[in-house]
Amino acid sequence: MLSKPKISAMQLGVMLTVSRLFSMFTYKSRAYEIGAVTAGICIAVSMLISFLLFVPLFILIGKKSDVNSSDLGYINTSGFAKLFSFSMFVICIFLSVECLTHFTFFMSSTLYLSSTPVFFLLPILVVVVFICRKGIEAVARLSGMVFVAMAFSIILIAILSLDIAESFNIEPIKYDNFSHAVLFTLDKVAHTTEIIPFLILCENVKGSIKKSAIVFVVLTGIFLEIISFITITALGEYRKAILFPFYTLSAMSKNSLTDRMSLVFLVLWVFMVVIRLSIYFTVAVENVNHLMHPSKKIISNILCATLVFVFALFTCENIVSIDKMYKLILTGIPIILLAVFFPVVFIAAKKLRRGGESNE
Amino acid sequence: MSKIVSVFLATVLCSFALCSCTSTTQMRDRAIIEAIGIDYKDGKYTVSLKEHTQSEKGEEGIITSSGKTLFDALKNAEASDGKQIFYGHSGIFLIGKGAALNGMQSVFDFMNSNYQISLNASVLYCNSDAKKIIELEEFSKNNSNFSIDRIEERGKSVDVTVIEALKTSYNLNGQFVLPLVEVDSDNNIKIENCVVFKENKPKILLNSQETMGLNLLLGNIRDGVFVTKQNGKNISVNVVSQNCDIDIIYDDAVTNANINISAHGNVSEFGTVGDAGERKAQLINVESDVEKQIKEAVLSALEKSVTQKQCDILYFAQRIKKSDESLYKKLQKKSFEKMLSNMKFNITVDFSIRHSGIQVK
Repeated sequence: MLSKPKISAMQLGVMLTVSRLFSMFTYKSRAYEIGAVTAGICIAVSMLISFLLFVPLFILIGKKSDVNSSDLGYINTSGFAKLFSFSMFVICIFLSVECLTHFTFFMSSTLYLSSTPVFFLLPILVVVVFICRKGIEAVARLSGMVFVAMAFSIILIAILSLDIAESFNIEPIKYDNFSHAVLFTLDKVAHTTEIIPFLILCENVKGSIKKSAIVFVVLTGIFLEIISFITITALGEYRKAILFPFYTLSAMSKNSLTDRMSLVFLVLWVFMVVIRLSIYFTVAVENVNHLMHPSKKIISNILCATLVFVFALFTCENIVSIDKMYKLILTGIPIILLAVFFPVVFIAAKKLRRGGESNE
Repeated sequence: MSKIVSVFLATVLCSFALCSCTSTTQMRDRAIIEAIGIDYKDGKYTVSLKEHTQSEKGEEGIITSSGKTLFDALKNAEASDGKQIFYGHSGIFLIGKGAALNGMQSVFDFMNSNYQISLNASVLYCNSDAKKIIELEEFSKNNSNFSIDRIEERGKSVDVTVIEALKTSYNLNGQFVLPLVEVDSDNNIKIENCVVFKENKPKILLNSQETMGLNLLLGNIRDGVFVTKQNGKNISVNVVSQNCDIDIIYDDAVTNANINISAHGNVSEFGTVGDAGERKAQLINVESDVEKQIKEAVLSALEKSVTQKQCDILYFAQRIKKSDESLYKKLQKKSFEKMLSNMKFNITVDFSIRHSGIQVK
């Protein structure tokens, strides 16, 4: 169990929202043949499905506080819970590497051409380890500030992009391919990997964890809708021809104060990367502590940082590895395994144990 | 101590935004490009880069280079000049006739892939070599002062930025409009007309009246001037706002496009002779004369681009797609171009003068 100060339900929701929107800022959805209206509906449905994925955890934890699914696993099925912790550790390291690789790819392909990846990897990792040592409360506080700046920037970029938005790009639903709409929805659900750290971080929440989940799902849904709508209406088919559509929007948005918003986008995005990495890194470290019980917690930090650095160094210069990692997330395996499979097994174990106790 | 480390690390993160400060290039080693001219002749691209210079002589700051591809030509320019070229301040892309006829796709690919290029830079087309225009002293003096958006507001030409050209070309399969840069006999540069592109190649030139018509259809005019004659005297009518409604009635033989334009503006140089009744009658005459001019301009623009060259400048395909799914699918099979060539335009114009220019002193 994390022995760190408590954060509010709102803070956890906001923190996970910032982490989730990282992928929307630069990831390009695959070329799904759907329009703005269908995309809006699909996002709403995907957020609903995402919320349903929290349900096994809610059932597992019940009315207890100060416990996460991993702790409950230890109580109920200690051997299986170790497997859960190990899976959680591997997936969190994988998601950290993926985040760092994506960050490095964006930087080296768009802004700092022909630069070495270490130039980006090391400073970010140092910052992340420092923040994680400060505890989840520090990440939550930073997230609050970044969230306000992010919300303001997204709305500003959206307003400034309205000038070039065209109603022609809002095509009627009847032209949209149903299978593409389903795939787009599943894509959005699969990318909501924040459910995974939630399983561990929920123990830090003062108050209802359901509120955290609702805040996360609602805020993420709202911002995904705004970004998706403005990208489709302002760029139309052209969005499929570019690597980073929302970045392009920010680069062309100008107002009386700034000639382009890309710099604001960049600073914001760097902080979003730090928050996302910090979340997954904290959870990875926590699981190492669960498994190995090291004498000093700094050892877990160093171990995780080394793993992330080494793997990211291998993957960040290879665009194929980025695609492979993206595809692996798209399969939904990380979410199904950790947010559905393990909690359901723990629930079953809990019920069996209760049944056994009542028989005795 | 912890606070100091926090501030230091926050500074480290913010330093990622300093992407322009990575290489220490001195100003004397850097060529800041203000305008890019692109030509294509004899299988080679030629780029003419107008460098920002404090020198009075404009020609001194022009880097010219050729290559088999546009990228090759730009790299050769860098090598020949010996300076590091910076495109971030390029406000103008001038596309020569040869390059445009070779297809704009290469130009768009370059614009799309070069992260330095400002998406808000203007793209212009010239009916000759872009190099000749860039070398003109007049261009050197004025290229930073071209206010193409202002020209568009007056209805005299169109203002197309890099992002608009890219977007329209992708969305409409290579159809877009670019402003035309011309040089008169005294080497003065004028931007008055525009050129409609189809399949990424120039198809038809619209004269100033037709360009005005196109801008009226697209609702671009904020300060357009029409001149009308009343009692032997020229009167200027300032069109400040317009709205265009289009209704398409499809028929296999002739498709009717009912276009309703409502506009309003004000009038200057209006006489003070005569009583109020006479002046009101004159105002009605002015309105009907402007309505006639608008109708002629719009009809001419549509007939030239849509009927003659089947360029879908008014997004007819998108309109049909939105309103009638079965017709859209039918047209995809039967050829949409045939429909455009058989189109008939029924234009109604409603122009009203909001401010007569008669002042009480």
